[in-house]
This record gives sequence, C-alpha cells and structure tokens, in this order.
Amino acid sequence: MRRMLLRSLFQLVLPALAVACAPEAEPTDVLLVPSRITYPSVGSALEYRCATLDCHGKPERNLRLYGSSGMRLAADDVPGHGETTDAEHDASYRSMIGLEPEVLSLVCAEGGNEPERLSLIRKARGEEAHKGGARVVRGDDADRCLTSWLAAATDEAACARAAEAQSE
Amino acid sequence: MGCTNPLQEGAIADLGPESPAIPLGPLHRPGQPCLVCHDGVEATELTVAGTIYERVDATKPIPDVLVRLVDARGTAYVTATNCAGNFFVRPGDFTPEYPMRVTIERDGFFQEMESPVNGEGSCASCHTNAPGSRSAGRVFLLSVAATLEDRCP
Repeated sequence: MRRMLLRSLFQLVLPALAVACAPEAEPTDVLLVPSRITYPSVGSALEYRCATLDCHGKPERNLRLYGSSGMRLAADDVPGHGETTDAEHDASYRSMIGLEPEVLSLVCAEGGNEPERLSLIRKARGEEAHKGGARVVRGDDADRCLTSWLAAATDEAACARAAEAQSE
Repeated sequence: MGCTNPLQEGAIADLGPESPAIPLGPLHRPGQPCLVCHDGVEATELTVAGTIYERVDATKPIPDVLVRLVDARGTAYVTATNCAGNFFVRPGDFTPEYPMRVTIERDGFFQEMESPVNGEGSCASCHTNAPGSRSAGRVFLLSVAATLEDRCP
C-alpha cells in the first residue's frame, strides 16, 4: 500500500519537480539528481570534513572525493597546491550521485524530504557506522548546505559559512 | 590457527626489511607509515607518528621539531622529533579525537597543515616521499632559504 502510495506520489510530483531536480539522462526512465551547477559550493563545504587524503580522498573509497587539499584528479596536480578544478568537482559530483541513485532520485523527487534515507546523510551525521564519525551536525551549516542541495535549493550562504568554519 | 589480516600483512611486506645499520627502536624506518605495524599487536601501539624533514625535496630529517597536535576536544599535545626526524605518541599520553590539527615548529620556523587529519595517525600514509596526485610529499619545516643548527651526531 505504502509502495503504491509512493509510486502515485512520485508520478504526481515528478513533473512539478523536474525543473528543480534535473534528470540525469534523457528521457523516459529518468533518475533525478541534485544540481551539478551548485555542487562546487557543497564540495567546498565538505572538503576538509570528508575529502582529506586519509578519508574519502582515497581511491579505495566508494565515495571518492577530489579537492585541492586532498586527492587530485590530474596526475601532475599535487595536494595543497592550486584550486579544486572543475574536472575534480565533476568527478566528486559523480561519486556523490552514484552512491544510491534510486534513493537519491526519490529524495530529490520529494523536494529533499527525509534526506536521512541516504547513507550519505546518515554517515555524515554519524547516525550510521562511519569510520570518520559525525562530520556534520543535524541543522548546522554543513548539514544545511548538503540537505538544501538535495532539496534543489542550495543554501549558498550556509555552504560558504561551512567552508569557512572548517578552515578555523 | 588464528585469523590473519592479509591487508596488513601485505602493507608490512611492502615496507621492506629493516635497515641493518639501524636497530629496532625510535630511530628506525623514518618516512614510513608507522601505524601499519605499531597497532599494539605487531608492535608497540602508537596513536600518531611520523617523520619530519628539513625540506620537501630533501631527505635530511630534523630533530627537535615541536609537533603540536590539537584534537576535536581542543586537547593539545606537544611532542618532538628525534635524530631520525621521527616523532611518536603513545596512547597513554594522547589519543586524539579526530579531526586533529597539526603544526610544527623549530627555531622560529613554523608550518601549519592546511587540512585537518581526519583519522589516520601515520603521517606517511598520506605524506609519501614523492609528491603526486595522492601525496603532498614529505612533511617538511623549511620553505625558505635557511640553515638549521645540526644537533645530532
């Protein structure tokens, strides 16, 4: 029953949210994903929290994240030098949206509702076994940045504050 | 027959043999990821350990560098490098709650690690000797032209 309800809801809501959450591919059986355009703000907020060389800045991780202070994408780029490149943001974005695509699509279709359905959120909050423990606190700037991105309404100010705070 | 850890065994094998010129102890294996072995089972447990060099592109280690570690609780712990450039922290002295910030200092020269350490106690796990896309290179103190007093035999 709940499944049917979800499906109906999905069918009803999908057209309305298609503008907010973009389809990953054209056309029919689409999975919705959060914005690639605003991802760099999210990536910056998570860089020191998640993407260091001793955490998700490792090729062995499922969620593989790149950044100027962590793992670099280009062979001749070195951690600690330069800026995070667009190609690195793109690679990290692909990692983020590729973790649980179906659940992500549901969250996205429902306007970011119940983002804790994603292990990305549960682990970041430390609500699920995570070697790195809690890296964000529910409702703090980094959490708001991440969840607002999933809701297709990226809170750029929260992302900027979260990025700034991690450098202190 | 106990369980084995093939990943750890492989990592230890990759480190190669001991140098015959250096006895087992605080001066051995500079520049290697200490906690691969120093886990309390294979060898004495350490929580944080590493090697500090004079320059990023030099192999000369430096002693008497103060290594200041500040963890997520705000607890600070300071230790110093020996003549191999090695420093190490035992769990009874300090077990950091990550993330941990690191600064190093000697004779007025200072370096602050740009990003925090989020869980890896071995410097050399990330700071391998050669800089590359997955390593910032050695941990080093001097980024300007300067000479430090040689204090080791």
